[in-house]
Amino acid sequence: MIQCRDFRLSIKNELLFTCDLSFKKGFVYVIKGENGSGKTSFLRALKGLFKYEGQFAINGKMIYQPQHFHLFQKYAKDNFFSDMQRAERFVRYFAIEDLLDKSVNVLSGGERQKIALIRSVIQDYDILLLDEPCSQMDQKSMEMTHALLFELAQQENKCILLVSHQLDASLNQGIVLEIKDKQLISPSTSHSAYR
Amino acid sequence: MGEYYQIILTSFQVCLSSSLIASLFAIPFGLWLGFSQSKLAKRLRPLVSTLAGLPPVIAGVTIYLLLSNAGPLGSYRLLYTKTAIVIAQILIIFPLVSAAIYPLVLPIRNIFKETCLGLSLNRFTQFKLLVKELKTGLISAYLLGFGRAMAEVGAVMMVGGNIRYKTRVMTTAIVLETNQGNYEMALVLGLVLLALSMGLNYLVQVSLKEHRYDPVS
Repeated sequence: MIQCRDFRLSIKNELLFTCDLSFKKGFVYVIKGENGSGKTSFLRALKGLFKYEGQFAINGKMIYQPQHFHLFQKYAKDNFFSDMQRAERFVRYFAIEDLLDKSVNVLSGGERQKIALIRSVIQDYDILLLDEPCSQMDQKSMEMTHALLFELAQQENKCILLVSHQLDASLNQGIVLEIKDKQLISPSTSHSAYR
Repeated sequence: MGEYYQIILTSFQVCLSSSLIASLFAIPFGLWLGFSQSKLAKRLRPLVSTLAGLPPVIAGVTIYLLLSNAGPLGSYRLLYTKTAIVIAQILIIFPLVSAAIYPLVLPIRNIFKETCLGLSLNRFTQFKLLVKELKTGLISAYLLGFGRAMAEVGAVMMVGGNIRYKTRVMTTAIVLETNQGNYEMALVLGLVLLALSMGLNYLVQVSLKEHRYDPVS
């Protein structure tokens, strides 16, 4: 799905980290690291919004949800213009039917994140990049979001990369990658995600 | 009575024409000015804002010189016609509407762009969404242009000639009738103009109130 080869990420000539990993369909990868280590920049670079060195190959269509996103005016449901039918499944999942006719300007942070997440997952994609998608959600919503992402990855064969500070138990099924010593490292290479 | 209606009708004809034509180009231009991060757009923004404050009489003189018999467009015989008034008003309205629009885009540009690129939306869809996003603001900008056209005197007088039953509009008629001491006509037209201006201003204020953007926290 995504193959990084000698991938190097820098800001103002200072190296953030290097990466020589591949990311496959059917898995959720959780990227963690300290503030300023380059997690967001990595996702932005994969989407072509940030400069990088080296190379990576992408096989498939990629959707990226930034940490700071925009919800289209005026109502929440106006954000599901690409596939309202598919959105209804996820609206029911989160039980947020009452939000659909609300103005996006009155939604809480967690509600906005749910709308943004649904907007992302209803798109046609093979790879999904999510930057802190649950940072303002309550515990239950966060767990539901993580469960949904694993379901999408496994049942719909998607490759999902997730940046999150909240390494909750609900992310245990995921593959946790860490930026350490200026390198994005994987867990044991015996994991099926790397075979 | 007939003359009153003629004057009001002429005013609406020229002001609607000029505001619609100017906005047809000014709105996409203003959106581009706000959305683009190019050096050209950065340099054009202050220039457009400056031109928005252009003294209308300058527009009048410019068009007059272009359309006069000695001017490059003299052969078209447009001077002292409604067309000449429309052209002068377009020159005044275009920078005004553009300058009213690009500040609406600037606060949301980066986040809007990144969201759209993240969703892999094509340019046409991005444009459609941006227009929908700023719908109320765009209408306000148009109303601003229309109101400006309605209130214009100097440039209209210069290029229109204030010809009775042909190019006489409310503002030029008020000036003429006041100078001649025909205060009744001046007053009636003045009240109509005032009612229109206040009505438009009210519409602009109401639509600006609706156009409230709250950035993501």
